[in-house]
Amino acid sequence: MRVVEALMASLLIVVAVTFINVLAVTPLSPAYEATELEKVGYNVLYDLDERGLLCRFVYNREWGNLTAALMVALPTDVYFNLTVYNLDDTVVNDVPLRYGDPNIFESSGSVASVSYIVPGYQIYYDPKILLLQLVRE
Amino acid sequence: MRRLIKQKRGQFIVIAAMMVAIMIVSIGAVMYGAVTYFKYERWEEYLAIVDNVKSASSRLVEMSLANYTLTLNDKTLKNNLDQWRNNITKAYYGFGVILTYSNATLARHWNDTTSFSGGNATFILNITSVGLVGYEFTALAFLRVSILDVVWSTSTKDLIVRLTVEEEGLTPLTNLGKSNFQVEISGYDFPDFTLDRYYSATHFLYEIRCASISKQPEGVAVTVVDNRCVKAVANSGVTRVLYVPAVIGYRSDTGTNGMLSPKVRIWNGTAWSTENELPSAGSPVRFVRVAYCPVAARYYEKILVTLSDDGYLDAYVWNDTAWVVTNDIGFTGQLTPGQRRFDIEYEKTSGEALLVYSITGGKDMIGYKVWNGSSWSEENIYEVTAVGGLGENVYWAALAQKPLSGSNEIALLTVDDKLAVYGVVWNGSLFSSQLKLGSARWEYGYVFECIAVAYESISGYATFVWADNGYSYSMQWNGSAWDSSPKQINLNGGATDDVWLSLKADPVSDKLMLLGIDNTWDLNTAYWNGSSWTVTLDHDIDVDTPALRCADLEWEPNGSKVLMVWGTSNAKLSYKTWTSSGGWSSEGTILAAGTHWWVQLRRNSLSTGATKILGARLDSNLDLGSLKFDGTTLTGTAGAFTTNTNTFYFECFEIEYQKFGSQP
Repeated sequence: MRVVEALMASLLIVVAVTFINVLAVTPLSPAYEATELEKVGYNVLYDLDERGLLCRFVYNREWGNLTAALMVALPTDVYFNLTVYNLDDTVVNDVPLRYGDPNIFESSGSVASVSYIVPGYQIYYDPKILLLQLVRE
Repeated sequence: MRRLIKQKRGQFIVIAAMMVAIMIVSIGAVMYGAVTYFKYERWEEYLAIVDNVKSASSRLVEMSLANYTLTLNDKTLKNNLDQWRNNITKAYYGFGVILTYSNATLARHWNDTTSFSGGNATFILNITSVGLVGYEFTALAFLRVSILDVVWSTSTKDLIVRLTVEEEGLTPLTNLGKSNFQVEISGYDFPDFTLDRYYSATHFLYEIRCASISKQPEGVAVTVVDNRCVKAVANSGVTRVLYVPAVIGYRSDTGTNGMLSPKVRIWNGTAWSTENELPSAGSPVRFVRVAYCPVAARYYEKILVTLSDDGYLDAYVWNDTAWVVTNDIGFTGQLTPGQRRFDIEYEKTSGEALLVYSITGGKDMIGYKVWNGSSWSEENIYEVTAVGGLGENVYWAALAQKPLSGSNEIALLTVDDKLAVYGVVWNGSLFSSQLKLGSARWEYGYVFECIAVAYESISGYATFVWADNGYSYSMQWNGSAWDSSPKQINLNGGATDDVWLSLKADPVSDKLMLLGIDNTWDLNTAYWNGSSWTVTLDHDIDVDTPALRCADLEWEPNGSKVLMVWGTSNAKLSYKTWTSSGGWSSEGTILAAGTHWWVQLRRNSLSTGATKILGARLDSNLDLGSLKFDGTTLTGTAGAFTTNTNTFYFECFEIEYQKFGSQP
């Protein structure tokens, strides 16, 4: 009889551990991916801003340079899609600022999104909001 | 039921296992909840918002300061902050971002040697969606421009402004270029300039150099607009004007050793120093020659050589600390010499100095020693008459330095007691190319210094001039060959003999000016335009004496004018100026006690400072007085150097300018 009871107890433990393992989110889990990309994306925008390049590219509409700068600064396996907005939500960039397949941003389950605001350029107050979407290949 | 109760151990195992399982599941649920919370609360995004608001607010303050410094609209910051406060809430809609500000200030202090522009604001950030309240930070923008000095050089006409530029935290701004600077000089508006950047011991410096500033400006304004468009304007007057020191060495019966020791004074750009007595030469000084080192690394070095009653030369070298004497460095072979049988000159490039002096033994033999910057060489002997000469002993020796960069050539001109005149070339290592130029064929041709040598400043041709039986002549050495024949200079109509000659070169062209005093007391000049002589006769027909050189002339440092000064009457000195466009001016005079036996003029080597030409005159009272010419006015002070030379027979003094400028 005790053997049967011991087997039942073991089964309970195994079931509990298996259940926990299903819920567990390890650092390698895709659940962290978006957060990591947000960090990367913000740091890249901040770095470009500190170097005085971000505002120059945005306000002078140097879209090619801005795209190239992001491509250089981001890891090669990260695709991005940047949209520049006015405060009234109208889009400023008249060309796509993108690297990678556009469909991947819709199909991927872990798209990171970073908002970055710049107040103006040189002496003129004219805030713009940059929305940077990132996804790993 | 009883059986179950009796079988207590089996139930316990199952119950314990169930409790463990419940604990595991509970812990798992809590972990799952935590991860889910973390995942959906987007902490990274909140941190990014805080960081972005901070950096963007700092940008806003910088931008507002830039706008203020360019438009002087002091409402800029407040207006921008009010908009920013509203816009930031909208930009992060849904996060509950509320930004407030206080202590918003814009300020500037311009038009001073240290000027600045600054702005700051204190912010409080709340993000209600995450319960962040009262996060305070300060945004600061600052630009400071400090002019360290403004130096104007009268020789190069360059105006040099050295300044530092700093931002927040007084951190040096090191990435500015020429486009970040604008220079205004009173009377010149926006002159072109070059910009250099370098570290000094204490600062990161910007050096602005404006060329062709012909007059000393009253002030300079430097506008700096940094890469953020923040502007500051600093002003300064000219803080320093480069001047060129000079030295005079002379005989004076003063000091501890009286006439045994030469005396020196230093010109500081404005006045002569007090008298400094050098170590004894061991015998009363008769002639003095001085030379300054032309090498920048030893700009201070000067050599003073005396010839004394005992016939010996004594050399004194100033090493920037003390005068180091080498007594009896050479013997000229003649006690109580009446002629200057030696000369000293530096090589232009090497900075080595050549001392040449007569030695006994006939054949115009000369001894020479070389100063290499730290010591004198052994005596070497050169026979000037080695090629077809019959000379005896050199009575007068004159050296001239080839002024072209890269050259170490020195020209030597001698006249001996057989009236033979020789030109010889020192190539930096040895003498060569000697040529008998002519004969000082008149009765006392060797008694007076009727020879002179100078180089054309541009071509580098050595021009030798000597008097010969009623006329003077010139001959040039072009660096590789002599003229085929001498050119006659008819300074006195061929009727009289030139007894004293003085030849000076325009420092900026190939022009020369020759002064001659003849044995009938006439003062004449000849102008060399690079190819021919033009004589002007009889500036004076009754100078103070033909027995001594009571006249001299000199070019201004920029070559625009020649000054000639001579003694012709008691208690006065006469002078004229010459320009290529106007020729000789009318005669002017200044008060100068006594009659005048010796006049000597030397030009400022860099044309820096107000004084163009310095001079000295030895009068019949045995006073050695000063002369100074500022380009317009000649002034002088009798006995300024000494009131007792105790002789007037010898040119017992010489002035030389330093070759490099100094700063007060």
